[in-house]
Amino acid sequence: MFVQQLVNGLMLGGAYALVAIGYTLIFGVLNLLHLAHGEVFMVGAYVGLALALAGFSPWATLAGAMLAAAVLGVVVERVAFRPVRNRGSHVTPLMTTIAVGLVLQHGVVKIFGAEPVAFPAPFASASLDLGPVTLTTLQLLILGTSVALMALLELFLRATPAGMAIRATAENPTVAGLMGINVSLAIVLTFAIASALAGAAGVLLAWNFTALSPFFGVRVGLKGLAIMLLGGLGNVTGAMVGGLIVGVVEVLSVAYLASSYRDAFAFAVMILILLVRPTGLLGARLQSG
Amino acid sequence: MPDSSALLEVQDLHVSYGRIRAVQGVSIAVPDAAVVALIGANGAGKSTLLRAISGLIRPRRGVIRFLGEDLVGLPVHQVVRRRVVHVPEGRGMLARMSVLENLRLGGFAHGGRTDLAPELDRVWALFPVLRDRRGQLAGSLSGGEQQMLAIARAMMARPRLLMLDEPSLGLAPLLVREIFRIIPRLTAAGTAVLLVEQNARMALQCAAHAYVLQTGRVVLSGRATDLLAAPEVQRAYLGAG
Repeated sequence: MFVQQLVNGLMLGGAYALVAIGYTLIFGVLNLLHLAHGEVFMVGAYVGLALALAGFSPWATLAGAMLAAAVLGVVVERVAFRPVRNRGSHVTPLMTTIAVGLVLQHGVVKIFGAEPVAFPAPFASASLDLGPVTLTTLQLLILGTSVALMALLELFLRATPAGMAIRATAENPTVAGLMGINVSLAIVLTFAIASALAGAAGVLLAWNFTALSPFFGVRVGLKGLAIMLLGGLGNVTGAMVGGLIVGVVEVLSVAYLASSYRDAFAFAVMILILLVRPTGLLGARLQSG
Repeated sequence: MPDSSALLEVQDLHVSYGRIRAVQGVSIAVPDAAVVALIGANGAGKSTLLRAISGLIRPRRGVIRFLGEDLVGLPVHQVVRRRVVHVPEGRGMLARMSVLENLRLGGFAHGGRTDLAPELDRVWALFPVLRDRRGQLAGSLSGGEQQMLAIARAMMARPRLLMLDEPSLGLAPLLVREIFRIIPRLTAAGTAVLLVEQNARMALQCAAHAYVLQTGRVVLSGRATDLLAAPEVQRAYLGAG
């Protein structure tokens, strides 16, 4: 039973981690919070819904949601960040991104309605009995996809020129420019990747919860933001670990305590960890690893 | 002495920070594969001049001609792609990346080419100590090693013009001599060096030409050996009676 809950928690946590990594990447390169990131996540899930209803395969649904979210993320950078970068205060982008988030939320309400809608299962899921743990193929897909995306991201950040350009920009944009890196392009690329991961998380969590609402992004977005702090500001690995912890705590609290307080337990554990380690689990590093 | 055959030619450059005029009508020239020194007191406008050349700050007016092309208005990364590389004051380490990663990023100017073996070989030959430390985080290096890494990283771009801002700052005398022993060797590979230094004696000893800046203007220029002997330079910058 406990091992089973642990696996369920890791599955949920993997998707949370994908959202938190997005906040982390963007905070890393800009030192600014992107408060519409939860809405980018939500829009990605709705694009997935539209694709799934149109009969696309699970992989095409996932890829389409990631692509749409990436494009949306780049648009948000253009509309809400670039015009106020190097001008105005740190508070300005908070306001502009909240505004963009509200527009996205209301746009989705306009198109799909404010009520929760059912998200179709990607396939008839089979159960795999592994001794103490019973996994469904859907759970495997969700967990496997989030782990694979995180591994790909690590590889990208460590081993490709574009990934190294993003890390250099996160550490010092002026020096990155002096190395011949187009810093504006690195920032756009960061938004595209962060948002694509959010879009993927949107579809994965919609598969998990089998339902979707226009306000889905508020809850998950807030949790992603908190996980970023938990892992250590700007620390990609910290966001991964933090996401998994929060997912596990949430599932265990539903299983052993009370399901109506799941978010309260998750946030309480985060507050406790931050009291002991104010810079987060792995410390603020503003970069991968 | 602007000279039309020069690699870099700055003409009548004016740079301001808000209302503060940091550079006021400076003209300098750097010949191909030569070391040229800019000396002068703190706040004379030396660093500002380098920042304007590399595109970090846009001049109010003036011309920065490099191989016949005006660099004014180009974004920083485009200036680097033309192989004009600026090592800023304070070395600009990417402290949380390894020595090798710093060097690889220095080669980014080649447009994302990933085989940097020839550049790395050249750098290892100039700075053998970096080869031993290539897996270490740049932030864990000593000050002298960081300065070597800063120069080595810039050399990865195969610069035609290398601009060094205060390479001796904060280093022990022995390391300062080591850095100044290496600077003339950089020109052997066809790199011209524009050197900003407070340590005027060391700078003049390794440069061919030099300019003396004072409150944003060139007040003296000529062959470095002549400036070393000039009484006004000795009095103001070399600590002679």
